[in-house]
Order: sequence, then structure tokens, then C-alpha cells
Amino acid sequence: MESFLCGAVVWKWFDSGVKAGSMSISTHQGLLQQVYIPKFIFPIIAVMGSTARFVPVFIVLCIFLMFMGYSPNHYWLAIPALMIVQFLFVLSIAMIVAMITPFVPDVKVIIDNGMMLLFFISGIFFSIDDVHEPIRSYLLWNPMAFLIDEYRSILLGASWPDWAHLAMIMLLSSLIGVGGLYLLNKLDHKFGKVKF
Amino acid sequence: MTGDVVLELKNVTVSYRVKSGAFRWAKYTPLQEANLQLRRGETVGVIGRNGAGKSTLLRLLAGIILPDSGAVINNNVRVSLLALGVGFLPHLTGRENSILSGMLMGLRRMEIIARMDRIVEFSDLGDFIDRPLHTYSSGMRARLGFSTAIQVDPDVLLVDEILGVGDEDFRKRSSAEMKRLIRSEKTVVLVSHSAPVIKELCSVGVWVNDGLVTVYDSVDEAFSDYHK
Repeated sequence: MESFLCGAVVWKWFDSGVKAGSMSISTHQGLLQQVYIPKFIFPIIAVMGSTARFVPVFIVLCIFLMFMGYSPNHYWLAIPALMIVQFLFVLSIAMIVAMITPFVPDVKVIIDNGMMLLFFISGIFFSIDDVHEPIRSYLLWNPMAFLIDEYRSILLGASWPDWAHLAMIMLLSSLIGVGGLYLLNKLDHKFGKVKF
Repeated sequence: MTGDVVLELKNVTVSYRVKSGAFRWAKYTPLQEANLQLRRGETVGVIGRNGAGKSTLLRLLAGIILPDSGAVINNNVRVSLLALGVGFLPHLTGRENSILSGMLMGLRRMEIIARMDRIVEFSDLGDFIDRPLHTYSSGMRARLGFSTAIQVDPDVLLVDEILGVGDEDFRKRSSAEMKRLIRSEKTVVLVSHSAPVIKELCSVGVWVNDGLVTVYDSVDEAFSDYHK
């Protein structure tokens, strides 16, 4: 039960951030015809919004865990680091999908279904560590599976996260994010011409 | 009356891709090799049929889209497209929406707050100004939008056919305010289908037709070609 909740709460942040990000430019199409606004702002607003919804839910989760007998310990100090990495990861993906959907609206369907698939392989219903070896490594290629596993081992198992892996995801997210930012700026004036 | 050039289009071509079949795209070119010079203090009236490219011209001048070829030369002026209710959000109050909208149209937060009294007074919304926008009628929303938009005060004002909104009284006041704004020393580009309005307000006529932008020194000449 606690294990599932940890996974579900963390997943929800990623899920809502990416979905809101994917629609962030499309939904403001009317606005974009009237004034010039740098487009990278929209996915940032979307991800900030989903973060603002995640934080209180996460606090409630922590309180719930304390009621269930998991006392806070010094390992919990690593949680902000996980959150920063996850925030960057969500933002980088949101930038990319926000850029694509105005030009190819059908990508929305792919994203929604892709998220469903990811939901089932990110170790929310099960623990990644229960999966046996070759498959476990493959599943951990998915940054969300790794992050969910780490949240769980901090909150429920009291241990430090795998810092090197965390740093790698942070680097990857930064690269994707910078790429997304570059493309959004490059295409900046094209969004005003897309017709829906 | 005319001063130095503030905004200029040089050999500007804009085309849109239009879907014409499953995997076929046609090109639609509303502006082809267009040239236009806007001088300080000028009031330019733009006429042309629906779909001729008038709104494209305004969006180009406002910097919302870029030309496919040619250049838009902005000599350091603030250009703004007059639009009602830009970025209005239903759950914010009238006052907050007004600030948001003003900021989106290029004002600083403090600038729009400083003009809040005038917005409240002109919109005449009374207590509604501090209620959420979803409690507004569409007329009230238009009044707030108009009152905010006219406070933006750019160097070059682009107007796409909005003269008078709301009920009878507000319609009179808003179109009078609009005309006052257009007659002032500001550079204005006005798109309208109403010949009397253009003739009354504009000194220069621009006719957009078949991708061509033709500039006339008087509005009457432009209309005589348009009606040919």
C-alpha cells in the first residue's frame, strides 16, 4: 500500500507535467495570434503548475507514512535532490512535446497512450527490485522507473540514492531541456502561423 | 504631419501552408514582395477583401509572425495590436485580468497599476472590477478589455476593426475614445471594412489585393481602385 502510494504520487507529477506541457502552446493559440510571447514560457508555466499541485500531495504522503510508522530520518534529506532532478526531467520532456503538438496535433494521442504504457512499466504496482536481472536493467533505462525506485528506498527503506545515476539523469534532462529551448526559440515565430 | 519612418516592410513575402489532400500541401501567399513605410504620426487605412491578407499584414507589423522572405525593419518603436481581452482568465478578478492583459500587451506591471484608476473609471464596472471574470456578462468583459487595451499606449497602434463595443452608451464612448486615439499624434494602422470610418480617420490608404500591397497618398484613390 505505502509502496504503491509512493509510486503513484511521484508518477502523477510526471504524468500531469508532460500532459499539460504537451498542450501548453496549443491551448494558447488564440493568444499567440494577438501578441508576441516567447514560446518557451508556456511549458515552464505548465510544469510549474503541476509542481504546485504535487508538493502538497507529497507532504500529505509524508504525513501518512509517518502515521504508518515510517519515522523521518536523515536519508529524507536526499528527497529535494530527487525532486530537482525530476523537475528538470519533466520540464525537458514538456519542452519537447510542447514544441511538437502544435505542428502535429495527433502526437497528443501518442503521448496519452505512451504515458499509459510507461505507467505500467515504471514500477508503480511492483518494485523494480523484484524483477529479475536482464529485465530489471532494461526497465531502469526509464528515468521515471529509477526515480520512483529511489523515492521508495529513501522513504520506506532508509538508504541513500544512487548519486551517479541521479547525476546522469540530471545531465540528460539538461541536454534535452537545452535542446528543447533552442528549438522553441528557433521556431518561435512559426507558432503564430499554425492554424487549427 | 509626416515624420521619419518608424516601421518598414521591405519586399516581404508571407505564405501559409494549406492542407489540400491527405499528404498534399498547397501554398497560400497573402503577401508577395510587399513594401510599406509607416511614418511617425501617420494614420494608415488598410482595405481589402476577406482573406486578402490584412490581418497577416498587421501580425507581421506586430512581430507575431516573421516574413518568409524580405525584412520588417523596426526603428526602435513599440508596436502593439489592439486586441480585446488578451489572456483573460475566468477565475481572476477584473482588476487582476486587467493587469495580466496589460502586461501581455507590453506594459510593465507598475505602469498598468498606475493606470488602473483610469481603466476602472472608463470601464464603469463599479463593484464588478473586484469580482471574478466568470461573473461578467460578455458586454462587461468587452468593456474591461477595451478599457485596458486603450491604456497600452504603444508608439505604433494596430487596429483590426474594433470600433465600439458593449451597450449603446459604452459603444458611443468607446468609439469616440478610439477616434480620439487615432487622431492623436500616434502612428496608427487601421483595418476596416467601413468606408466612412476609413475616410474619416485616415490620411493614407493601403489596398491589399492578390498579394499586392498598394499604397495611395489619399484614401479616396484607394477606394476608387478597390471598387473598380
